[in-house]
This record gives sequence, C-alpha cells and structure tokens, in this order.
Amino acid sequence: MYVAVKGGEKAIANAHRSLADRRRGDRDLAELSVAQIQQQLRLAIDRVMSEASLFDPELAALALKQASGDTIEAVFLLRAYRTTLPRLAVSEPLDTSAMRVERRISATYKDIPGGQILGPTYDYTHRLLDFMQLAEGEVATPARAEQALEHCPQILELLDAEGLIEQETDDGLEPGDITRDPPDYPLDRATRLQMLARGDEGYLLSLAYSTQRGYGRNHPFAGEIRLGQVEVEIFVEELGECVCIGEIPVSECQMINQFGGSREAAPQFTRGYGLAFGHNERKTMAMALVDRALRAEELGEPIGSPAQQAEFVLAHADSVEASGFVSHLKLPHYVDFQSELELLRRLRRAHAEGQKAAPDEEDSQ
Amino acid sequence: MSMLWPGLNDPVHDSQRLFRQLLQAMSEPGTLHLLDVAAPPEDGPIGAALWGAMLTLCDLDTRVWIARELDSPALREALAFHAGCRLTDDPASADFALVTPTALVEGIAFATGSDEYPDRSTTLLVALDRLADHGPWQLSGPGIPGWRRLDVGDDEALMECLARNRTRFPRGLDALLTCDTRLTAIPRSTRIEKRLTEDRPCMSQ
Amino acid sequence: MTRSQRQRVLSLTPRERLEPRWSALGIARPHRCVRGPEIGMAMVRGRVGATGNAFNLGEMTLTRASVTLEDGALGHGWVRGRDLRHAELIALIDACAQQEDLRERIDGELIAPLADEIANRHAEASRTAAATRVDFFTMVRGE
Repeated sequence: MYVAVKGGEKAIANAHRSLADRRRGDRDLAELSVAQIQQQLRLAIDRVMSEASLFDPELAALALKQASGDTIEAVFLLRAYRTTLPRLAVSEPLDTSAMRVERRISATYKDIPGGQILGPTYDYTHRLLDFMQLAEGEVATPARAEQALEHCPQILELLDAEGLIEQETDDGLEPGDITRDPPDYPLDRATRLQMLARGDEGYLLSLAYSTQRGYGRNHPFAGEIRLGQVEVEIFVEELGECVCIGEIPVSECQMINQFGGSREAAPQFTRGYGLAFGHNERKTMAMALVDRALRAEELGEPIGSPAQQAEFVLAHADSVEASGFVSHLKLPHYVDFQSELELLRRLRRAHAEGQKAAPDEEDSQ
Repeated sequence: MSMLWPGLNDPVHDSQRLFRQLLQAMSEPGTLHLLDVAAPPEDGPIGAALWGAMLTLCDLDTRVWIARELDSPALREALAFHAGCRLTDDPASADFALVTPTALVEGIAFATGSDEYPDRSTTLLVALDRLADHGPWQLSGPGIPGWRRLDVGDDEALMECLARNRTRFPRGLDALLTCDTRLTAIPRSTRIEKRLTEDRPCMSQ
Repeated sequence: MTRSQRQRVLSLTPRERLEPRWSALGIARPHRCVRGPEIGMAMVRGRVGATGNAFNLGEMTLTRASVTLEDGALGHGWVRGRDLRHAELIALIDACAQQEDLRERIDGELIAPLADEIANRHAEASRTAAATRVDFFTMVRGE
C-alpha cells in the first residue's frame, strides 16, 4: 500500500542553500572558476566526460564545481544534461593510427618505430607529496626537442604482419547503441565496449585486477598505450563528403593476451581493447583487460570468474545506475518498514509462545 | 543550391508546441487542429500541417518511407537538411510513412508492431485533398465522448485500411491525417463506421 | 581547395583567432540563417582494436549552422563544442567561398595562414612530446 504524503519543501530549500554555502566555503578565499577547474583538474574532467559519455570539457568542469568535486555526482549531472541535446550526427570511426601522439609506450618491444614517448605521465614520479605546490611557485615551460616526432604506427600491426596475433577487421556491421536500444544479453563485442567505455573506473579497475590475480587469468602484456589528439569527422549529406568538426584527446590501450589455437588454427595471441575520452590511461587498461575477459565464451575458455560473466559485469558497470539504485534507499520506505515490523512482531510472538510450549515437550521426552 | 523549404523558426519551442498539438490530436481522435507553421514553397501535395508534423517527429533516429506520388528531390533534400532522418525503401522498417490514400490502396505492408511491442509500428502521415468535420465517417472509442464525424473526401480505401486496425489490436497503424494547415488523428484504438445520414455532431465539439 | 579542407581549418581554429582575421578581410556578405545555429551532439565511434568493427564510444557536443547569402549560395558550418558564433562564422565563410570573386582571397588570405598556424601549433606539441622520447643506451658490462 502506498500513502501519499507531502511536506518538507522548506526543509529542502534550506538544505540546498546550506549545500551552496558549503560548496562556496570561506568567502575570504577567491571562488574557483570553471576555467580554472578546466585547466588544472584535467584528469578529473576527463574521467567525468568518459563516464558521462559526453565530451565537453567546459560542461564537465561546471559539473565538477557544482558537485563540489564528487565525480559520480558530476557524471550524473552531465548525463542528465546530455539527454536535453538532439543527436545531429554520428562520427566516422576514429582513426587512432593518425593520432597526434602526446604519449605512446609499449611494454612488448623496446625499440619501436617512432620510439617510446613518455608524455605527461605520473609514472616515474616518486609519489612523495610535493610541498612546493603549497607555495604556488612558478612552473617551467615544457622542454621541446629540435625535431618533431616521427610517425608512430600501431605496434600491433608489427605482430599482425607475421600473423602472430589475431587481426581485427571491419565487417561493416552497424554497432548497437545502448542509449537507443536497451541491452539484450548476450551482447556483441561492440556493444560491450560501449558499456565499458562509460563504466565506472573504480569498478573496472577492480575487475581487471581480479583477472590478474587469477580469477579469469589471461596473461596480459601492454602491447601499446597511446594518448593524443584525434580529428573527428562526420559525413555531411549536403556536401556529400566527410568533414572534420575538430579534434579531441583520447586514450587507447591495446592489450596482448595469451594465445589460443585449435587443430585448424595455428596458435595466436589474442587481444583486448580499451578506448576513452581524454587522458584516461588506467581506465583504458582496465577496460582492455575486462574486454578480453568477456571474450571467454567466444574464445572457448572456461567461464568461472566474475570478470568473465558479461551480464554481471556490464549490468553493474554504470555509476549513474548503481548510485541511483543504492541512493533510492534514502527515500521514505515508511510503509514498507511498518509492514516488516508488523511481520517481525508476529513472528516474535509465535516464537515466544513456542518457547512456552517447549519445556512441556522436554518433560515429555 | 538554395534551401527553400522552411525549417522551424525556433526549433526547440516550436517543436514542443507542435508536439503538444500532435499529442492532443492523438488523444482526442477526430478533432481538427490548425498547425501554425511555415508551408513548403511549392504548391504541392505537402501542406503546412504535414510538413510541421514531419519536422516535429523526424530526426536522426527515425526511418521514413515516402510514397511515390509525394516523393521529390526537393522533399528529400529538405528532410535530410532539417530533420536529418534516414529514408528507407522498406515500408516495414519505417517509423513514419508519408503517404496519400493511393499508397494504401496498393496494400503496402507497413509495420504493425508485435503483440509484445505494439509500439514498433509505422505511423502514417497522410496527405489529403479534403479534411473536415461533419462528414460521413463516424469515429468512436477512447478519447471520444459519444462519437465524432469526419469528412476525408472520397477516400473509402484510407478509412477501410484504418478500420482494419480493429481486427489485429493491439497491433495496428496510427494515422495523422492532414490537409493544408489542418490535422487530425485516427489512432488504432478508434472505431470507424460509415454513416449515410447526417447526424447531429458531438456536443463536445 | 575543397569545402571540406576549408571546414577542417576553420573548425580547428579557435573562434577568438578566427573572428578578427575574418573581419580584417572585410568581405563578409549579408547572410540569413536557414538552420541553426544550434547545439546538439555527435555520437563518436571508435573501432574494436583500432582496425575492427565500429563501436559507439560516447557523444560530444557539436554546433551546426547553415546560412544563405542574398544570391542564394548556401553555406554550412559544423564545429566541436557549443559556440554558436563559431558555427555561424564557418557557415558564412563556406557560403562566401562559393563566390568566384571571394574564393581566392578567402583561401589565400584566411585559410592558408590559419592552416600554417595549425601546423605550427601541431609541430610545437610534437616537439614537446619528442622531448619525452626515451633514448635507450646499453650500460657497459664490467668484468
């Protein structure tokens, strides 16, 4: 039974005012501008954009400001905004081989065409708090080499040429879109990748870690990780050709995994793939590991670990859905709880009566 | 090349206003609604109401089938430009079909949905030469207090096609009938009968 | 130069750089918007393993505009983000570039220098990345 009650408008309005006050903090300190967040909290913004599934750094910065830095709340805000916009176009698939590389490394070959390019990375930092940053000192401009980079081909193409690794070829299939058609399991790999790309990073990271600890072991090597700018093209009907609408930063991870083979097919390395908006390296690595784990059925591997179970992994990856369902427990459940109370009291009465009867039973034995 | 077919002046608010009118029309079958929207420039069969309905309903995610008599390069270009919708040659895959009653005589197989998903059906957007109340067709059913009358010109085929909806409910075709700036709706839940005598029109009209 | 080549340069140039350069040319014709400028989204696609089937990565904001000049020439502009003015400027320049007498000046005095700016910006970013390239050397082994 549902009983409609009303009330709390004033409390809610004042709670929002209190929240705004907390968000602003000490008025003697300058207010943080959206532009500052956009420039100086880049990785938080990239994470919000990737999980919100909407690339727009300014809006992501606004969402982070509004959410007082709560990533999941910011993702929710951006997701909600996304639903107010019409979809005007679908891009041509990004050509990550043509990326303007800012970072590109391989853990499988030391000497690679184009070289190992570290770029802006937290790797090799000592993880010691830098107290200089408390002093707001000057930051030096980056070093610049004399020569620009050489072309950086995809590393996996090197293995591809020898046939040592499975090839990824385009059979022209139109990909599913979970924002239009709700997921209907089992899902193809393209749809799984869409869901992983917007999945919560912490969740994917834990699942990826579980595969490395033996729950769905697939023996990974980081074949290539790259970060950089990619031009986005859309096909324009009026011009009859593709046009560039700008460039966006993306992170990509190509994972090389344990080989499989059969009587017919020679053994080959298998692959896992990760791609995300912005600088999201950890996310793409986790995504690639989970992508590979979810290919267990396709590759004829035994399925026993959580990361290999597509419906479990994918249905719980979305932070907006997850936080929505967990948070709904805060809503009034007064009536549900009353009925549970009622039931519990009845059970306890029955139990007490049973206790009274029990000594007689003992006597009779 | 010049784009002569008009779009909506204020796409967000105009499409909200028009969508509200389409909802109103669907929920009260047989009532006439005037759509205040710019008409295509050519003096063709597509009037302001039909064009306004298309601009409101069609977008990148909808597939549209166009009957031969209504098809033209100018229409295709204008639809691609303003709505961005995908055109299809397969009537069974169309979300919307732009038709005249002639197309319905030919018995083209539009999607009627399934019993599980009756909404996965084609909505007909019909261009008529005549559309008025007080005609020989009597409509009754949900959204109609008593009955309403409609005059769609000399179009037995159209009304017979829509009357067939009753035989396969919940599957069926919903239709928006348009003429010039006027529009009315006959959803699949509406009963259609032909009356030869002129009865008094419904008081709610 | 094709329309898509111009569109690429104009979309990769920030509006704050584009607007003064375009005004300086002083050749803008009166125009009327026939579609937009309006903000929407593009679904961005990637490829499985970079070369395989397409998949939907996520959306990005996108602004588009279409304008006509008085003689009926129609121009289109598409650009990343939510800058209505940027999209309208691109559409206007696209429309003007269809006029024989304006095309040469637009390509020579606007697009070419902007393309150079983009190339310089890209080269600088590339040299910044190149400075972080690892030079491996083998340590001399002791006895």
